[in-house]
Amino acid sequence: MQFSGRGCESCAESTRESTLTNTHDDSETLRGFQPIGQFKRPPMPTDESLRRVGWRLWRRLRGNPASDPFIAAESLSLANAKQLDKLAAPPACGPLLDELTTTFADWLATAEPAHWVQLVVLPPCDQSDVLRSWAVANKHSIVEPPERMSLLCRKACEIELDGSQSLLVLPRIEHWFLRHHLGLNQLQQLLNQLVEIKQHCIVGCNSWAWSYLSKAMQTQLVLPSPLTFEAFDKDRLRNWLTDLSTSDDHSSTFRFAKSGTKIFDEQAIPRATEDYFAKLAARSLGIPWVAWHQWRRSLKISSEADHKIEERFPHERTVWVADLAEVGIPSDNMQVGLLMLQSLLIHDRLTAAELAATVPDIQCSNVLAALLDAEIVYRDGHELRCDPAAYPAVRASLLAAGFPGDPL
Amino acid sequence: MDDSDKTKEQAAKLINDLQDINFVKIVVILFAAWLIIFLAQKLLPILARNGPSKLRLTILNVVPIVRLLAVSFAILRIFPIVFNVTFQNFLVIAGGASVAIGFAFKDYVSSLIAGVVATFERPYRPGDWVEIDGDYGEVKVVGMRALSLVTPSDDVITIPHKKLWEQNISNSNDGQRTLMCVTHFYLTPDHSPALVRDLLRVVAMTSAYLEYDKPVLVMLENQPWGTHYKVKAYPFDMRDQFAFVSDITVRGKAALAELGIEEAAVLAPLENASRTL
Repeated sequence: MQFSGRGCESCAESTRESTLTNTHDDSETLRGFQPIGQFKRPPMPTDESLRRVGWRLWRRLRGNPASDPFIAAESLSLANAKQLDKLAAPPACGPLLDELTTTFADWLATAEPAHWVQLVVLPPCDQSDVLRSWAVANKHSIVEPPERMSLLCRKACEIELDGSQSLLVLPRIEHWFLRHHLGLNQLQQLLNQLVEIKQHCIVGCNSWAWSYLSKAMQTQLVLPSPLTFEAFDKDRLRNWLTDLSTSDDHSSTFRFAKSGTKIFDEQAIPRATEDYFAKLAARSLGIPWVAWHQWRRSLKISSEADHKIEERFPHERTVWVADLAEVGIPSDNMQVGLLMLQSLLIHDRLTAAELAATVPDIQCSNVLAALLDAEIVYRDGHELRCDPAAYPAVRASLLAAGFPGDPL
Repeated sequence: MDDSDKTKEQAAKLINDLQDINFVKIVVILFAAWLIIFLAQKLLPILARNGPSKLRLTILNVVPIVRLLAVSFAILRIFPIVFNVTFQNFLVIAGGASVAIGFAFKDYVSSLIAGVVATFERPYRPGDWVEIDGDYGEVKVVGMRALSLVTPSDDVITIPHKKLWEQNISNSNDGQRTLMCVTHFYLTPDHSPALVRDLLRVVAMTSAYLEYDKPVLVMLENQPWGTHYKVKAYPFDMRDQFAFVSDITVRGKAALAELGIEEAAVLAPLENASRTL
C-alpha cells in the first residue's frame, strides 16, 4: 500500500490491524503512528484529581499530615543507576522502534510515493533519540545538523542531501538552532531542498519545535501531515513496564511502599495496580519516556539492615514502588526560568552560551541554578536539557503562564 | 387645616420617622456591601495573578461588576428604609437632588454615571493598556468615580471616568492577552531594503516573547535621512511588551551590525512619546 501524508490515516488504521506475535494479549497489537491531531492524552482519574486538590488544600492548612505507609519513606532509598538499569532497562521508547518500521514499511516499498518526505513529530525530552535509533538500527542515512556555534560564527554550513535511493533521516531538526536568525536561515535552505527532493526522507521534530516552526516558517505547508505515536494508556504502560521488570535476572518483586502488596501479580491485575498505572499514564501525558523516568524515580530499595522486611518477605528481593512524586517548579523569578525552559524544550539541548543567545536577561539571574537544583534541568556534558520526569510540570507551568504550547 | 400644616405633613412623610428606621439593618447592609467589594478588590487580583494567564483579564474584569452590583444592592435596600417611597416623594427627592447635583456635584456625578457606562461599554478594563489624554499605562483599578493607571515609569495616574465623554480612549489590547508592539530602526540609506526587511522579520520571529498566533510585519518608509523600519509583532503576554521591544532592539541591532549596516545618526520625529519606557 502506498503511504502518503494525506492517506496516512488509512495506513495507520491498517497498521493497527496487523498483529505481531507478542507476549501479551490482543491489547499488545503492534500499532502504527497516527496523525498528531489524534493524539489523546490519557485522562487523569477523577478520584486522583480530587485527591490532588484536596491534598494540596490539606497540606496548606495542616502542614505535613502524618501518613501510615507499609514501609516508612525513611527506610527507603533511591536505587542507583546500575540497579535501575536492571529494574527498568533503557531505552525508554518502548515498542516505538517497531511501530516506526510498521508505519513506514509500505511507503518505503513504494518506488514513486505521492509524498517523498514524511514528518514524525514526537514529544520533547526524548533522551533515547527514537528516530535516530531506528535509523541506525535499520542502517538508513542520517543527515546531521550543523554545529550551532558555527552558525553563530557565521560559518557557511553546507547541507548535503545524498542523491542515492536510500532513505534519508533527519532525526531532530530542533537541533538546528531554531531560535536564531542565522539558524532559521539555514533551516529555510534545508526546507527548500526538501521541497524538491526525489528521495524517501523522514524528518523528525519535537512537538514544541514543530509548533514554533509552524509559526516562524509555515513548515506545515511544506510538511503537511505530521505523524506521531498513539499515547500510552495504562494498559500499554503496564504491559511495557512489566516486560522491563521481568527482564531483570534477579527476579525482583515489586511492591507498593504504601500497602506492601505486589504491583505485578501473575494471577490478576490488582485494582491498586490499575489505579497506579492510570495515574502514571495521566501524569506522563501518555509519553513513554516520561513515564519511564517517573517510574524509575518511584522505585526504591530498603536499607540493608531492615530485618523486619526480610522476615516478612523471605527469599525475595523487594523493590518498593513509592507514590509518584510531584515535581514543583520554583516560583521565584520564574518568568526568566520559564523562558529558559521553553527554549530548552524547543531546542532539546543547549549549551549555556546558546541558551543565552535565545533568552534575554539570564546572565544576571541565578534561575538556572535553581532549576538544576530542583532537578527540572540537568547537565548532559556541557549541554543543558529538561528532565523528562519534570516535563509534565514544566508544560503545565508554561501553558498556565500563557506561553504558546505544543500540539501534543 | 392651612397650607403650612399640609407641607409639614408631606415633609414628615418624605423621610420615615427616626424610630421607624432600622439603623442596625442599614449598618449590616453597608457592612455586607463593603465586605463584598473589599474581598473582590483584594482576592480577585490575587487569584488573577496566581491563576492561569488566560483567565487573568477575565477575573480582573469581574471586580468592577461585583462592586457595581454590591453598591446597587445596598442603595436599593437602604433607600426604602430611610425614605417613604411614593411617586410624589420621588419627584421631591429627584428635584432636590437635581439642584444639588447641578450646582455642587456635577462633575462627581458625571464621573459616577460614566463609571456605570464604562462597566457595561468597557472601553477599558482592569489589566488593559490604555492611553487617555496623553497618559499611557496599565489599568490597575476601575473605581466608581475614577480609574487608576500605572505607567511604565511606575507612576500611578488617577483619571475620572468623565473623560469618557470628552476624550478619545486608545485601548491597545481591548481585553486580549496581547497587544501589538512596534520596534523602530533608523538606518542610513546605503543598504538593501529587502535584505533588512527579511532580517528584521526573522529577528522578531526568534524572540522568546513572541506570540505564535499573531502576525509579524516589517514596514519601512523612506525618509530624507535614510530608511525608517517598523517591526510590528505581538508578545504572548502584554506585560512583556517593553521586554519584547528591548529584545528585538538588542538582537536587531546585533544582526544589522553583523551585516555592516549603519544606523542613521539623525534625529527622527518621536512617535507615541507616552509609550516609552
